[in-house]
Amino acid sequence: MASIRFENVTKRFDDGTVAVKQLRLDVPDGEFMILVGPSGCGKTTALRMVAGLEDVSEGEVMLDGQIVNEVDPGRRDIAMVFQNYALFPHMSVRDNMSFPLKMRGKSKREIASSVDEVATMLGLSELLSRKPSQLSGGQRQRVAMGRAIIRHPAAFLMDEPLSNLDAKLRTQMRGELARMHQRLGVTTLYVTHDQTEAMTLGSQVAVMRDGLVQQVGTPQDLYRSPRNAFVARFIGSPPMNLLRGSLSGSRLRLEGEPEGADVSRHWPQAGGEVLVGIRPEACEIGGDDSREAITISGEVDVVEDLGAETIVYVRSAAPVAGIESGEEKGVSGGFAARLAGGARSMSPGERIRFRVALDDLHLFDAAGGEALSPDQRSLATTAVGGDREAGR
Amino acid sequence: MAPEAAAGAAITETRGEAVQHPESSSKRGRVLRELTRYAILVVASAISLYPVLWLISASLKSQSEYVQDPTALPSGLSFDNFSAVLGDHQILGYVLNSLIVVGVAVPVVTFTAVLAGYAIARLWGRAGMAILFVFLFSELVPLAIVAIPLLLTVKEIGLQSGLLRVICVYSVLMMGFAVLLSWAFFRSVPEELREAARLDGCGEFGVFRRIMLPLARSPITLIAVISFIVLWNELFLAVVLLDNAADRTLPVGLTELRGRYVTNWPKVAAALLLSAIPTLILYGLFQGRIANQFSRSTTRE
Repeated sequence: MASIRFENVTKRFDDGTVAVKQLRLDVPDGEFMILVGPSGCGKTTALRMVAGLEDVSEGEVMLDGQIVNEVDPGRRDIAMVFQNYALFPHMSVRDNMSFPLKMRGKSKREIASSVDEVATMLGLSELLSRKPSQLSGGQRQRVAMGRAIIRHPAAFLMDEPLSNLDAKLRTQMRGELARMHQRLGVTTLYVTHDQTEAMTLGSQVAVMRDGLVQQVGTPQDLYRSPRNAFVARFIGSPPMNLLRGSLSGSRLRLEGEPEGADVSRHWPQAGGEVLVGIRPEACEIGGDDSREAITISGEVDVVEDLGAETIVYVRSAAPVAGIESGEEKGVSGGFAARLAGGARSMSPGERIRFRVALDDLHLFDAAGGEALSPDQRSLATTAVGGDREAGR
Repeated sequence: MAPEAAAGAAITETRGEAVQHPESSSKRGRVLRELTRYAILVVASAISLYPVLWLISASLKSQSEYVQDPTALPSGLSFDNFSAVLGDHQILGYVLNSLIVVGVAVPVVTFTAVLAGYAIARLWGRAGMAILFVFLFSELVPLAIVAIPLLLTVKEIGLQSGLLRVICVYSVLMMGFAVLLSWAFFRSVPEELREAARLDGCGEFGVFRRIMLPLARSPITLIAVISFIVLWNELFLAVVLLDNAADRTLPVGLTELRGRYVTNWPKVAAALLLSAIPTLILYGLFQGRIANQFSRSTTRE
């Protein structure tokens, strides 16, 4: 087992593009670390540098405290699961799983017993004599996992291993991956573009954008106190709503909304143009007036009744701001509000008015997107985090 | 696999339609289309089969019978010509020469092309592409233009043995095609297979031997079979390169069967038919795999 460490790692490709910029990241021994970000953010490149499949342009990649920049991929003692599984088409399942052991000169008996053990664990015992082309997507995925775990590597690298599976299977395999990590406790670096996977699988999540790490933390940290507007939008589904607003004399006004709110208690020093971040679930209809809140009004556009909850997309008076990179186009249909299941039925065109408690607001600098006074903010959230979690 | 098979079908379909009326989806149209298709095939088969049938017919005649009417059918089945060919030591010598030339050149071409194709596709990056263009370009130059310079070159570098000359030139002759085919195949093999094997502890050569070579069985067969067929029948370069009668390969030797004043055409016909047998056997054996290589890739999981 080993820790993985990026020490100011930069990757510059031959054509001059910089995929990873000065990456610093620590994956302690036994951690399940997720690298998440939109496509092209450098997450896969970072992973491939750990595997030794890409050269490191600057900085150091360390495994278990040793610099491995120049070490041959085969000698790094890491296993990788590829997005397309990379099973050897001409070999049976048994031969595929035996391959890493065979390369390491293990005896035939040893190999056979290891294969049987791992196959039992992954439910592949019946399929050992089949060729990869005779397997379903989920089965191939398992064989790829088996080939990775069979030699007890120091670390696992996974490059979007679930993205070729259908939604139902993906959820199931996600559970299996989590169980496997609990059981084996092997350091894992896992790359995905899917924030749901990141939230549900990782004990630590690093959000990347344009080759830079935006924020590293537990899924809860990222969700509750995003360091900037990009992380705020990227983590959470539907994403956090961002509205334009301004802050002057500790009074927060949303564009298009007549009423403002006094936020001197929350952001005493801040001022100027801001982006106001509101999680969809922070919206309340009516609600109790005792909590300090701001109001948002608009017209119902689309109603998605999911049973346990209802997602309402609203054309609000306050303009919704977008973050250009990494937005899933077409998903953000205006201001999204998530209401508990029993919410009264609503129809498109109806006027609607939400209250959002000031405690639930996130403010970001309109120019740079940095969260305003994040320290104070995270203190506030940890203080009330417990009951709010329960309330959700 | 299935989508590719379907794509293959679609291609034949559109070809068929290009020949006939595109709007004919009615039953009558379909019948008409089928008829046209068969008519074309029958004509094409007749054109290519006629010379073969003529050869067979001629080979079964005696010389005098042939002289009376070359196109008439033989009066009876007589295999005298075939036994004459098989008993002719000179012809058997040509066969031996051909076997030596092809037997060396085909493995050389196949082995070199598979290694080169892999290196160009996966290891050498842009430099590899430059080399590939050299190979491609060599395919574009007509043989008639290079024949004389080739002869001078092989003499210059001191290749005295005629067979050795032919072997060298033949290997080069097939190399462009063979490298191109092998390159195209290896380029279609997902890069991840190599990476996965490298991570599992394979060296660069181990990847080639354990993963790539077993996967490349179809293209290897295709290169070997096609090289064999082309080289077994190659006449022009052999005529240019061989100046010693003892070194003649079979195609060259067969042209020498023509006498100065009289040519025993039935014997020539028998010899030609016999010389086609190895090609037919090879094609028969590997037909499935060759068609397979053209219609789909075996690398998909």
